[in-house]
Amino acid sequence: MLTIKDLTKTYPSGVQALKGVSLDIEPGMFGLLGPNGAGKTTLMKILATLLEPDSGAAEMNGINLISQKAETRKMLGYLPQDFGLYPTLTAAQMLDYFAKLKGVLDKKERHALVGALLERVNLSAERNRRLGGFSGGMRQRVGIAQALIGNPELLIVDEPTAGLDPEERTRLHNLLAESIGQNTVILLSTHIVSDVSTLCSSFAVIRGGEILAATSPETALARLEGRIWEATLPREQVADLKATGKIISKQMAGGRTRVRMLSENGRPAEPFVSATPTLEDHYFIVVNQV
Amino acid sequence: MATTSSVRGFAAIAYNEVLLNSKRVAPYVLMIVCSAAALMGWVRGPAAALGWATNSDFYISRGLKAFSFLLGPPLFSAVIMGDPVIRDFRLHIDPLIFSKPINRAQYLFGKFFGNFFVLVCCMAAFPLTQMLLQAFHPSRMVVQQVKVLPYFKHFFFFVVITHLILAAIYFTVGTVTRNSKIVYGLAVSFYPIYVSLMLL
Repeated sequence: MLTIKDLTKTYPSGVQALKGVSLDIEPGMFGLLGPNGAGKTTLMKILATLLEPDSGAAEMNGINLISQKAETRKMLGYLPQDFGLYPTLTAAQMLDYFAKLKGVLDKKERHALVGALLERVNLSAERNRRLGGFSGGMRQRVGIAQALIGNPELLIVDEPTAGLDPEERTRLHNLLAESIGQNTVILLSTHIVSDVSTLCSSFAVIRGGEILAATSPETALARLEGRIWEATLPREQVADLKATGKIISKQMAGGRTRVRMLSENGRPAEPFVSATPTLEDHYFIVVNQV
Repeated sequence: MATTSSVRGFAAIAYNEVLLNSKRVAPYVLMIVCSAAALMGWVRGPAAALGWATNSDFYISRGLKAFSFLLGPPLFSAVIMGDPVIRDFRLHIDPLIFSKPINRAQYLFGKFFGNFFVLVCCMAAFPLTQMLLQAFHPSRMVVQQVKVLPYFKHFFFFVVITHLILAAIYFTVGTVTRNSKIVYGLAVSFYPIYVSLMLL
């Protein structure tokens, strides 16, 4: 179990990125959902031992993630949001290098490991190709492969699907889902709600450096059952609805606006109809405090 | 156990630097320039002009002293040693490296010695070419009995040791500033500073 307690971080520029973040994360895949600038990457970097918090604690399996950096890194797999690879090295050479850094010293063992990882991320055929010629999705798969070296107990993936096409996104989802071990905590940071609904057994919503909600997708959806209403309206009618303060989301479609509303007391007005709640509804309600 | 693991981390980084340099153009160009400099010294140098023995101890040490500071190696040092750390940060590879169980000392020493090894290999093209040229000489050129050790000895003292200091300066400046323009600026200003010091 990963326990995070009262983590705070203020950058020298004065930006307060984390304001006392606390979370208890069970083994499995945990989603950290929030808009850009919410503090997700700062939290990930602290847990990956790349950034010092101002205060607070983080612990997993008896290891203090803040002070025991060497021990933490042995059990850690980290895929950052922005990362690069040496363009002149091949996929196999790059993974071999990372395996050495991770402490896999035996050459035969390393060779087998690199082969297995490339097989797992479906890049076996590209093992001797230079990374400079790889597409964004292929690079992301190399990134996942390096994070999986040594079967990490804590796998941190920061915005892994950003900028990927639907096929690569699905492939990456499958890879992450296959990586869940019995005692593995996978921390997935994203601003894409569907990533969380597809993959995560529990999640938290973060905004402005604070955790606004932490729950499971099932619980979040159950709470909204019977409270979500939807209608497609002309633009001028939407303006009148704004005053109610219960609009969850608006989406333009064919010159009209599809509106989703939260209503505790039955149908808000004509022509609203009851809608199936989605995790996106929950996200907007929490983030925008509807 | 901890020492072994530290050495392995250092060795992994140093080896990777050698691998990365083997895929760059610069080291091969430097080797060719060094070999060409040795060839020029052999064809047009004082050995041919003044009748000195081309492989005398005095001539070898004189040639390597001149090579060390006068024929461009201070600039070569900057090319090889200035940007290994800058490169990692520019390419955003640093978070992947520092999330692995290695520390900053292993990383920096690995980077430094990996690149210094490449630099020394490039510059070794100069004495190696001179050594080979003992076998080929015009009839009027004075050549003593074939020698090997003086080339290595003088190369080590006049080139490797002096350039270790220069390489450390360039590497430190590149690492601290993460700006290769400052490193190259420093390299270019080496000769004016060196000449000024000689004149004082």
